Amino acid sequence: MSGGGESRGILSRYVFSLDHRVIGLQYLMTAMGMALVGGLLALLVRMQIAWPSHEFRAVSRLLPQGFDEGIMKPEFYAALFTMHGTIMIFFVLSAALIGGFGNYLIPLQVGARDMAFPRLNALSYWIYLVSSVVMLASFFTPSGPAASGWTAYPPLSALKGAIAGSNLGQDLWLVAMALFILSFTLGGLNFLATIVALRRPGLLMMDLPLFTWAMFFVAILGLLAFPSLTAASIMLLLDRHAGTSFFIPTGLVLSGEAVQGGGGSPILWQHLFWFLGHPEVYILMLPSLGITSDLFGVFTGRRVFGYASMVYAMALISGMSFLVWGHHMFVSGMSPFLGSAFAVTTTLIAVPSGVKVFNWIASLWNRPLRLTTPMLWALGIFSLFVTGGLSGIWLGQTQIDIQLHDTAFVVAHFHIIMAGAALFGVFAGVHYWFPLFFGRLMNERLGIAHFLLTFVFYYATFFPMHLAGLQGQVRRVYDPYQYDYLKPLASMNAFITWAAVALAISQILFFVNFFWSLKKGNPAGPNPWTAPTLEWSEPAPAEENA
Amino acid sequence: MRVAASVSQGRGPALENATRVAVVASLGATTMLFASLVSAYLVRRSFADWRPSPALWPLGLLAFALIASGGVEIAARDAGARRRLGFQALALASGLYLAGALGVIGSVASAEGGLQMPFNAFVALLLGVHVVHAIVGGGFAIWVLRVEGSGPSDHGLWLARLVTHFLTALLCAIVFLLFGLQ
Ligand code: HEM
Ligand SMILES: [Cu+2]
Repeated sequence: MSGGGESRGILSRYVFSLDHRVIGLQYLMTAMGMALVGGLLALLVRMQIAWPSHEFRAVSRLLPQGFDEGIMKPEFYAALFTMHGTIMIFFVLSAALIGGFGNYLIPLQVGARDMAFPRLNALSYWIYLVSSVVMLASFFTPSGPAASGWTAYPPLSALKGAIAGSNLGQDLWLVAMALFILSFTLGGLNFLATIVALRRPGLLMMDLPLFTWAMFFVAILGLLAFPSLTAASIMLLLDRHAGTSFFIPTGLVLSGEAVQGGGGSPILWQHLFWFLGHPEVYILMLPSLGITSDLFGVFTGRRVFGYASMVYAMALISGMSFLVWGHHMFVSGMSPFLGSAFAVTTTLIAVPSGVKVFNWIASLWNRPLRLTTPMLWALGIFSLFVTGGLSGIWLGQTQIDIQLHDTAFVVAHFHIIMAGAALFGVFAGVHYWFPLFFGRLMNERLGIAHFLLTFVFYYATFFPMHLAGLQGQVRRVYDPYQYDYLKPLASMNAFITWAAVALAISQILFFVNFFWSLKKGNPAGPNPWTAPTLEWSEPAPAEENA
Repeated sequence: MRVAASVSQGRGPALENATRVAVVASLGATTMLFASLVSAYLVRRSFADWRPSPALWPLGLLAFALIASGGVEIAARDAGARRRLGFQALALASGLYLAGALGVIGSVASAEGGLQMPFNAFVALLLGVHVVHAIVGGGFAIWVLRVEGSGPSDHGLWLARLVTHFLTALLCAIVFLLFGLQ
């Protein structure tokens, strides 16, 4: 930290700091807090699916507007899965991997003193914090939070009064997302500028760790993809408040009255949304891919196989992610020719993904593996990436997707590949860089136990959803058993919910390990993993204080 | 703030480079924003009920924007009194552009059919978003041009030119798409 640090007091040192390391940790901690909320919402969703007439006594006292004598209201169920998805995708995973690790590590890995624009960087964190608060605040409005899914499809999201969540909750959702996008954009500009222009002299782009490369592509993806959601959100806000009809079709009837206006196109929203949405899923995936590659290098004692091809594969994946958004819309009535084109581009993404998988196999082949906790998480990412990639190739084929769209199969696919791989990336990163952040090691035994439980229960939760989906279980349905053909799936759904509960309980190990190691972990020394990358050549914070 | 301060203290070409990267990247993001809005517009105008309405105000707005751009150009090339004139032209034309654009948005909103008419809605949308960017971009230009002693730095002029020319080109494209397409 810069001179005069001591005289500046705790507030400016740890709260309003401009230091990229402090900002990174602020992001990480806030994201961990949001993860608790997002996880709780997921459990409520799962309990409702498994036991539709379950009585929620405690929660209904906290959020009375969502319950009727303890029984969850259908529209509150919709609000729960909406907020779960939104919080996890944007406020937890993006924030932790990119805001957290990105801020802390990019300057260190490129050998810069700090980010290019430290003030902008701090501003980005504070905007993110405000956007999180706005998003959470919607739980406490009279009509409850947004309920149109993390994809916010109109007309549900466009018509005030369509359901409870279409009121103030949807406005707060849009405002929070706008702030989040602003924060992400400021961060992305900083990342790009720092990586391109502030590298230590002599350090070439092709020498950078793959994590920093991932951040480079993530920044570009975010800068070029988020504007399309910004555009869509502005139009949606105008539809809601200024009398326009960009997304409102003709002929809607709401509580017996014809809706004013019309002539707009709800499908247009889907295009704009998914033009962001698909790159966004890669925004979550790339950091984990980078971390996995770097950790395979460190823990096999040899740089990851095919470094250059890893960079090109990331570039291709990033570029192509702008050409596949239509695969989320195969059943929207698009022309079958257009559908085939999107099926082809979607399947082609498997090529660079395959390159990464083969490089990883080659990196592990015949090597002595050091199975530390971070390495286990990296192997877990490898497993999830392959499992989820395979189901993706199924879904990318129009003929198959028409059956599987909006079923639990899709939920299985994206939880395994996106949610899972990104979450495992957070754990890999926290375990790996903990010594850098705090000067101590996390406990290996607890770490390994936590990994094994999470790995097993993660698959136990999400793998059966493939089967449920194949048998026709639709997603986002308040009570699946209102359909006779789904009644036989009740016991499978109960199993999934119990697995989810076990998964949640296993996370206690992580929090215990984290906070215990902060105080009592073994002192780490400057480079505990004998890693070759630049961040470890900095003095660890513990030494710096001494 | 930090960029300007460090640039004027000569805190190094690396930071100047970083600023350029960031500004170019944010123009890239802005381009994508308008590309999204424009593609929505192109889709919507292909519907059967589309009715455009001709108007003269776009020429006025374009003229102000071009004068603003020209002002920066003069300021960048010349020094002394001509530079001051360039900046004055920039300030005046930008002010007129903002007032004019807001007036246009107000008039389409209150015109017959109001914002429920899709054409009016897109006029308000595209111009409105452009105005927001013009304010942010104009503020940025003023900030990098703030004269300290020997006048604005080459770096500052380069950035201001880039941003104002970009905003003007964007307006030309919007006006062409709204009124020039058949
Ligand atoms: C070979 C690679 C992949 C292919 C071919 C693929 C294909 C697909 C297809 C076709 C869908 C739409 C299914 C439907 O709604 O009917 C889908 C959904 C999804 N995919 Fe993938 N995918 C791949 C990789 C990924 C990756 C790497 C991620 C994220 C890191 C991801 C995240 C998602 C998400 C979040 C959804 C669902 C969004 C929603 O409807 O809420 N996919 N995928
Ligand atoms: Cu996709």
